[in-house]
Amino acid sequence: MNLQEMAKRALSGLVAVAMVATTVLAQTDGEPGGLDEAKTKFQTGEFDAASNLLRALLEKDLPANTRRDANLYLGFSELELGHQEAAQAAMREVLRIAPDYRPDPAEFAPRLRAAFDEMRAQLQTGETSDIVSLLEPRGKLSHATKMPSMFARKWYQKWWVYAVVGAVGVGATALLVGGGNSYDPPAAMLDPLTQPCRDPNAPTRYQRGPIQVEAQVTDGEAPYTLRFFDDNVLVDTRNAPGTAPVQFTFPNVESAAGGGCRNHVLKVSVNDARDNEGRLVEASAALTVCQCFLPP
Amino acid sequence: MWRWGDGAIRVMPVLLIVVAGTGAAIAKSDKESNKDVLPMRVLEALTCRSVQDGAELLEPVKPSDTFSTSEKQVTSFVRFQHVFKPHKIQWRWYDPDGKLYTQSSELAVTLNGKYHEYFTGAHSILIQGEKAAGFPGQWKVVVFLDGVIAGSTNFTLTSKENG
Repeated sequence: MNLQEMAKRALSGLVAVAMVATTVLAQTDGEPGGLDEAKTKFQTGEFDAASNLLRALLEKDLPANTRRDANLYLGFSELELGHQEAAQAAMREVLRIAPDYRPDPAEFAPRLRAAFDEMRAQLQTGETSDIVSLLEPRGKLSHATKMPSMFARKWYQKWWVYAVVGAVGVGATALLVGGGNSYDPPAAMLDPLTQPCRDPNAPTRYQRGPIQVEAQVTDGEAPYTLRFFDDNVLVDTRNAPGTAPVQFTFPNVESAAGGGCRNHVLKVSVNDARDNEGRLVEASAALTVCQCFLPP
Repeated sequence: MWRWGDGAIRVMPVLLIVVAGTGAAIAKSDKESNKDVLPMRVLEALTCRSVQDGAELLEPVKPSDTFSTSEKQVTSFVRFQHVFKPHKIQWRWYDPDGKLYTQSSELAVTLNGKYHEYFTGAHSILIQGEKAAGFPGQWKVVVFLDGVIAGSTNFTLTSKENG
């Protein structure tokens, strides 16, 4: 093969390659379904058709610039259709391919270019902001009111009912235990006032004759009636208006006949206004009565 | 002559005290159970742009389920009925991917033992200039009452032009 033939073959190969390349490019741009057709659709306001064409085109393997332009027109088409999120996605692709790209003023209206810039700013802001501010929650209660009857506690579920019952029980117990206004019968004491004999050998002997005693009454209800007895023989009766001590003299308390000593039981019996409510109330003093050598 | 009667009278106060003590114990347990059976419930759960102080409660301002990423905030508003005991309320916000975006601190509802018919609560997240602005789509905010889900609301965050 001479040089001329070789050159012819090389040229044929180049032409073939050029034709193939041209065909490919024609299919992406000028041919039906290509970018040019999509642009035409966009410029005539057929945004929906343009969007469909561009989406089909973007599925193919495209040069970077073609892909950029296809996404740009797709973004504007979606914007015109009001599909904000789709427009944003397409714009994001444009900026990914060419971060500093700006739409050609000769090709796009100021309105669209402004929208692109604004969307670029939003996308960039959204991508770079990591701020998550935490605000405090707030709340407000309505005024306190009476609980609805269907939720209100029944009377037997209220604690104060039982507190009152318990207080009544405690009070009644206190009254019963403490006696309240219950009656106490009188009590009596009897003490000799006359001094015993001075005989050191008989310190508890009393001289025969008058012996004075003092009766003391407590409790019961005045007035009182005091009866004085000598060996169960009534000697005299006295009336006492109150509980003041009552002094009484047995007039003649005898010793034993023949000068010896004799034991006496001097007694006072008390009856109050209630007659002691049937109780026997007495007090006594046992004395030995003698003829002392050394009277008091 | 009164012995039998005296005995009964002396026993009665003791019986009253025993009855009082038993009854008080029952009343206390019933008191607790009454609180438990009160049907506290969510009357309202929505999203809005903000809340304002009403005459007695919080009130939502401009309720909506769609917000723009250029808006200042989104507020979750909730209203409860039959409030009788203390509670804790928390809001959790989920982005369009279902991930927890943020959650509020616990809001304590404190009472003085009295009944309140309503409680209103609100929590907001900021949008413009915040991370949330980069997540347009459908969000969810869930309200928790004492750790249990009480209600949830979905809302949409859109970019400015559609907002």
